Amino acid sequence: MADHHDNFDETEALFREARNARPAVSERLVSAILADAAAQQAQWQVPAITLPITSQDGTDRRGPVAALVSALGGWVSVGGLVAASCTGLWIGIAGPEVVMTATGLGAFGDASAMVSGDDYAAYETFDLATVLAEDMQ
Amino acid sequence: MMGLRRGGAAAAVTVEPEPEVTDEALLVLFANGDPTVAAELTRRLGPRVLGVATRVLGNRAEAEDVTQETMIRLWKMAPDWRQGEARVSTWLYRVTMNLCIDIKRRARGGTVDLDAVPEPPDPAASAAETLQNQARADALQAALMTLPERQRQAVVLRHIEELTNPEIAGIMEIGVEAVESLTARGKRSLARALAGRRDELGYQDG
Repeated sequence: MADHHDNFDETEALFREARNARPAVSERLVSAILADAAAQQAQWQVPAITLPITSQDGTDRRGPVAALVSALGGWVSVGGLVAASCTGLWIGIAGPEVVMTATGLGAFGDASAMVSGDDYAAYETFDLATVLAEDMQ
Repeated sequence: MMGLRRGGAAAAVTVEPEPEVTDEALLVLFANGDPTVAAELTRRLGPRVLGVATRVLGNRAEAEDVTQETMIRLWKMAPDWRQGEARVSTWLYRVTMNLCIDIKRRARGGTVDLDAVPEPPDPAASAAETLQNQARADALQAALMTLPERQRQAVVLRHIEELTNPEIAGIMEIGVEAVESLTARGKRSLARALAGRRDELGYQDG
């Protein structure tokens, strides 16, 4: 029984020594770990707009949205494009008569200048196919 | 995060550094792109991972590979870390243990590299004491390597890393009772393995 306790005491002593003898992480390993960390953070930061547009190897680092906006002439141009699209959509839904009678447009001409129902019927028969066919001749 | 660095440097000359930021807080900062915290996390967690991997694997080179891979997984996981749910160290130990198991599975029948066992850092010890300390460390490692893998993991986490049984249960993904059983059997086996080496290990001296 005494031997049994002695063995346990010795094992405890060895554990104690092991606790005090933690291996040091070598400089080489620390460098490798920190390089991995930096590489990981760089991956997350690629889509950020604040980064340089091109990396050292010349490749485009912008996100797809940023690239599209740039191709269209910047955010001001995109704003104009959106406004024009909304206006076109409104005209398409509301119809030409509503557009001509819209507030503010009445000042551009008198009542005789308004498009009559017959004129509008003529417009209805006008289509792009007709124009193209005429151009082809 | 410059405060951390100042704290680290000051630790060399003052007794107690300023209260430390938690591992979890550092991990969140890392995920937010702070480039300065990786060094601090590596300083805190690297030795723990390397130590436990070295003890479980019995091979320094493999343990270094496991350490690097574990830390890579930590960096990758950082943005998905759910605060308050677990301790970073617990997560890290679990990854380390699983990677150690993977390595052992890949290299069944491998030999123990006793030369790779960490040396006791005791510059004041005499040559004879150093040799005897080395013999003790080697003996412990050799005895550890005779244990079944799960027993060895449990013993290392309990008696060298000094973790609690519930924490070990979380790391090994088993119940607390199973941890108690593994550590008890493991310690008995270690004591038996070391019993025949008392004179060799110098315990008769005192």
